[in-house]
Amino acid sequence: MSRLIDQLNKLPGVGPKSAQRLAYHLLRMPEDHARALADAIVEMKERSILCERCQNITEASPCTICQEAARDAHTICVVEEPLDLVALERGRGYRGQYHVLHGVISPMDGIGPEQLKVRELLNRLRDGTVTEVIMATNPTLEGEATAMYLQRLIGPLGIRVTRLARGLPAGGDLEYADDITLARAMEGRQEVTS
Amino acid sequence: MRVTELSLTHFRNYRALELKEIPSGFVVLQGDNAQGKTNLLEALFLLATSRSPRAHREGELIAWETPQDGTAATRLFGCVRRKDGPVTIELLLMGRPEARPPTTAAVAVEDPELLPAQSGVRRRLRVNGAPRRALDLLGNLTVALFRPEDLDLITGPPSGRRRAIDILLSQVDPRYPRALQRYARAMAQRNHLLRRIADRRAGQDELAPWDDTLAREGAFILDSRRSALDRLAQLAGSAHRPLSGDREELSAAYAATVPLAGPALGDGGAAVAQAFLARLGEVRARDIALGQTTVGPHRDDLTLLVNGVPAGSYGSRGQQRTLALAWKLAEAEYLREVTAQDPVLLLDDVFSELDAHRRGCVMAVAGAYEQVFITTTGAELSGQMMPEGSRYVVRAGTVTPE
Repeated sequence: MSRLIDQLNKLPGVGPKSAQRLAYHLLRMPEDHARALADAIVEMKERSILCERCQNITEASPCTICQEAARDAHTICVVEEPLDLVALERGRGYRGQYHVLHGVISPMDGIGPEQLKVRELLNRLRDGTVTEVIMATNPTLEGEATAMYLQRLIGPLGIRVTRLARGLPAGGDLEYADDITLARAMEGRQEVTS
Repeated sequence: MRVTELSLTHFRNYRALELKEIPSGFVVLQGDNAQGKTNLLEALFLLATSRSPRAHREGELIAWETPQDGTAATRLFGCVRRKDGPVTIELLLMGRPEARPPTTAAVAVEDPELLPAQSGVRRRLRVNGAPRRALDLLGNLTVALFRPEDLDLITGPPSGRRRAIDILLSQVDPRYPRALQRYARAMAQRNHLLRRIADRRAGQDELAPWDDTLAREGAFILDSRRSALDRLAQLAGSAHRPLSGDREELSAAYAATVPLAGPALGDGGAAVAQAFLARLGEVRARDIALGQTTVGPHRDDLTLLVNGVPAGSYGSRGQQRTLALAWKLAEAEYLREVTAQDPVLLLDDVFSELDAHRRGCVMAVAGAYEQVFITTTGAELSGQMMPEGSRYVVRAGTVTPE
């Protein structure tokens, strides 16, 4: 029991009290449910691999997104984590390729380009198919630094490097936007077209 | 602007304080030493900046004795009447036992420029009831704090002067504290990377994005500081003349660690960024060897000059104290000028060190602000020196109107 609590406690967002509550919940669970959960975890670990192209988590490589013929082969959208890719796919506004870095450059955490899927990205740019790389790293200091670092590597290859726009959220309220978001939105303002 | 309400719960020696209908003008807080006068001004400073002017750890702010389970919660609440309407500010500090400061006063003195958010203390801020980040708090209540330690502005190390101008600019320009924060974080990243390069665990090409960020944010900091300093020196000159009765010429010098061509332009420092970037390249080998970023606004100094001589090596102790006072009065005037509103003045025990003439001068200048909190033990503000205004007696964490 205490071993399970310790393990649960290691999960993100689970403190000691939540870990205890979860453990007791699991204890009272029918055995087949508990087994199904355990199997799901083990199976996920055993079956999940990284896609040889986009480095996303998948069961078959290349992944379904990379195999989709209808997708634009000339653009690659670079994201930090698989969940970012999921979010962009949910938006349905993008029909190109992806590349998952699995993190951002952060020397204080011991993470440099070597620890990320940077070399894999550069390899994908070799054959000249890709004409645009979209930097969709988070607008944090580390996300920006990573985008800047990649831009320096990719720019000289003659490939267009773009960055996601920053501004107001759709359906948002000006009054509740923070100062910096408003300032950025003002900087990135666009012509109103009819 | 002025503060109309103040409520403190489990803050330092205040268990529960409610002050309502605080008037404008002079608010005199009278009491013996160690009764909570300075804590009250500290609370107002915290509501303005979310920082303490003196605590090194946030855990020090919490009155710990109360709950059983070892956690403690401190609440500060203030109501401010601004020209554009009322604003409420609320600051909550929730402490876990590990944040409790040791009873012996063996507190490590960290870099006072950046009071780090302490682990074990959670901070929650609300402005008009809506959750806000610390950076978005600044500017709602602006304050100018005067205290005996201000002498360090003249005689102390550069870090105190950098901190003073950083707090001043943070109160008037929302971009400034963000630039400071990004600068500090980029520098921490760069310093880690420098050490990794020295250990041959990273390549020099990885420095570029951090150098870019440092140069861009640093140039903005530099340009803002220099523009403000020029104006501050002029205002300090006007404040100094009646105080000293002399005709000294006050000016200011910004000693930068990166080459600066020409005066501050107030344009965010586009040209400075280029020079900064080039300088980072020049010192790269040294930085790698030291594992530290050796140039930039975090190493700069800003000095007040009297007839061209640094104020720290000018005149007597008394004259230096007068200069420090002129600097603070200039800060208050600067806040008024830039925000087009009166800041709230917080005068903590400033009169004990001044003669009657200087006290009179300060009272006359301060009297022109909408609201001024003054702490005093009472002795030095007797007779004709006692300002017209409301008086409160501070005793063992209670405040009673007189």
